[in-house]
Amino acid sequence: MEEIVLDAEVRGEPESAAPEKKPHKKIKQTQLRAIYGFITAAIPLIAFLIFSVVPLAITISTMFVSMDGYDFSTMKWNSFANFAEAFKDTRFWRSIGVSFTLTVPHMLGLLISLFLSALIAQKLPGHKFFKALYFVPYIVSSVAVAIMWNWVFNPENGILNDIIVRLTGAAHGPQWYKDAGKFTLMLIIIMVWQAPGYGIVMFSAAFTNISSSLYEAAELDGAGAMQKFLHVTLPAITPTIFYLLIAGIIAGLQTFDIPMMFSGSWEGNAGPKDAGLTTVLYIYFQGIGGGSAGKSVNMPVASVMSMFLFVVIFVILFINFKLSDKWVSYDN
Amino acid sequence: MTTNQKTVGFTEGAAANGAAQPADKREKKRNVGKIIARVAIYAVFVLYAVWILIPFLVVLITSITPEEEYILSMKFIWMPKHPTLVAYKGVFVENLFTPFWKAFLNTMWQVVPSTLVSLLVSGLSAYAFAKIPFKGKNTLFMGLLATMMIPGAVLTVPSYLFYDAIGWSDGVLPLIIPGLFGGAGVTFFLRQFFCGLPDELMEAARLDGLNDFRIYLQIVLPLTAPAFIAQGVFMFIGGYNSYQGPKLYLPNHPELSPLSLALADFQGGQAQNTMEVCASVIIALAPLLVLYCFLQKYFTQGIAMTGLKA
Repeated sequence: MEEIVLDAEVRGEPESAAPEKKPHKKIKQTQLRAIYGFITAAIPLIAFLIFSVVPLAITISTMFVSMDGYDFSTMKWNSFANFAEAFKDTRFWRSIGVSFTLTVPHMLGLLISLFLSALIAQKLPGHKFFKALYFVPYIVSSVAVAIMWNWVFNPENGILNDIIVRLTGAAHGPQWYKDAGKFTLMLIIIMVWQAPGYGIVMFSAAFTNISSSLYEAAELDGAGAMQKFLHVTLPAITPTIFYLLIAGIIAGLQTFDIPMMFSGSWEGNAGPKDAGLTTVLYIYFQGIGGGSAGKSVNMPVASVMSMFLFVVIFVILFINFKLSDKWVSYDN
Repeated sequence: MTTNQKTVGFTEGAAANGAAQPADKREKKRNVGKIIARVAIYAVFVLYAVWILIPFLVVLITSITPEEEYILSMKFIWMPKHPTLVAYKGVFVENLFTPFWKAFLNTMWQVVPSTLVSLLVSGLSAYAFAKIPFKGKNTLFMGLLATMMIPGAVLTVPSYLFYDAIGWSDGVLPLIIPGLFGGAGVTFFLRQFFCGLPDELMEAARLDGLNDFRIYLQIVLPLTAPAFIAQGVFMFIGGYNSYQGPKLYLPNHPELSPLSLALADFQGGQAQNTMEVCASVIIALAPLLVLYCFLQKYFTQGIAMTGLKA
């Protein structure tokens, strides 16, 4: 196809001996271009159809049947029994609660990154070094993060309990792995460590896009540093705040890696009292296996839970976009 | 900031023309305040830097602790009396070509080629969206946007079911093949970038007899190389760090385990030596950190550009 287009182009170029033929070729050529454009543009979408839409369709159909493992030939209509099973499952609701709890570190990360980027924006000597350093957690894999923090929180020989014991003189530090509340706190601390790097980069980019004339005008009006931040900077970066808010909620609701790394060794539970059981982790236990010893996979129920999470995320996105009219301004 | 400060000082000085003495005093006061503010900012910077470094330091210290000291001490060792590199030797030299080293190679062949292909294909698609007129473009573009709305975690179970149905669920194919078709996010981002290129450039190249494919490959790609690198770096990190995918599809193939999964299994294993686990974390982090030092601006550019435009 390329060659033909090329040929037409080359032959059309020398001042054509038959001018009435040219428009015809031109049409053919633009058509070929359009076909080429359509096909190449569609490649990522074709992959999306095959690797996402088809699986989603299969999943939706499994929501209404019972099924043996992953064997489609055993599919049998079971009139919404999967929905009943999923929604009566207390562990499932527990997992929804855990997932929402783990959006908290992303919200804290948002505030921390806003604060730090405001300081970085002062452009004191060395600010680039600190900015680069603060981004490092973002590129570290969750597996490495979990292993590293294990040696911070490890109740026997971790650094944190050593510090706590030295400071308080207690016989031993908190049992981070045995108490549900402390386990949750630990997950939040680890995720807060991970979260701000991304936000710092985003906010720093947003700051550089604010026109300096706005600041000059504010200064002429006698605004101090704090007033400039509240009345010039903050309104100008509302789109970034909104984006990070949404991205944070979605990321929090999809938490998997860190709880998986910390919860893997519990027998049937994910952390003390399932404190590490995120929805995605529970879906993984239900659909793929692990977590509850000896229990076989239940793909249809896992499908129902997946779709429920999808709807939850979608509704939250929708509400956020509706509310965003009130406080996000895109004119700069 | 500093220049702004100066202009303000100048105008104020001019306003308080008659009373030189108070203005001078005010200036002094302002300088003192500035110094205090600076000290406070640096204090925050350093404290936060320590907080970021703590987990790295903890693992680093543990990795150079001799086994005897570790076993005898019942608590955290702040500084080993006789630091040693035995653990690194254990991971690197004695286990050469066994799990760890092999896992690194697995990561490389599973991530690098598919990242490169994905970049090229995404760019091809982005070029068509940006520069070729064709019918149905808006529909396709809406589809592209829609693909980015679906949260990845929701697809975990559906994908597994699908790959199992086509016989791929026990192997490396699900980790590689879908990426070869390019990604919606990268396509969207590169399209924004290509839209900024002047149309005259393409027209001139077309008059020279280049077709769209060659214009993309020979003109657009070199011109927008930084954008490609920024996206490529991101995809590479994502692949290098990915844990859920390998965990799903490779549990029965330890010989195919990439670094992330091998590391998790290494830590979870019963008979592992703590110092070696810590050393392997440091070794696994090293390539990315070195890459980050050299390509730092691409790391952050990629985010800044994608984030703001998406």
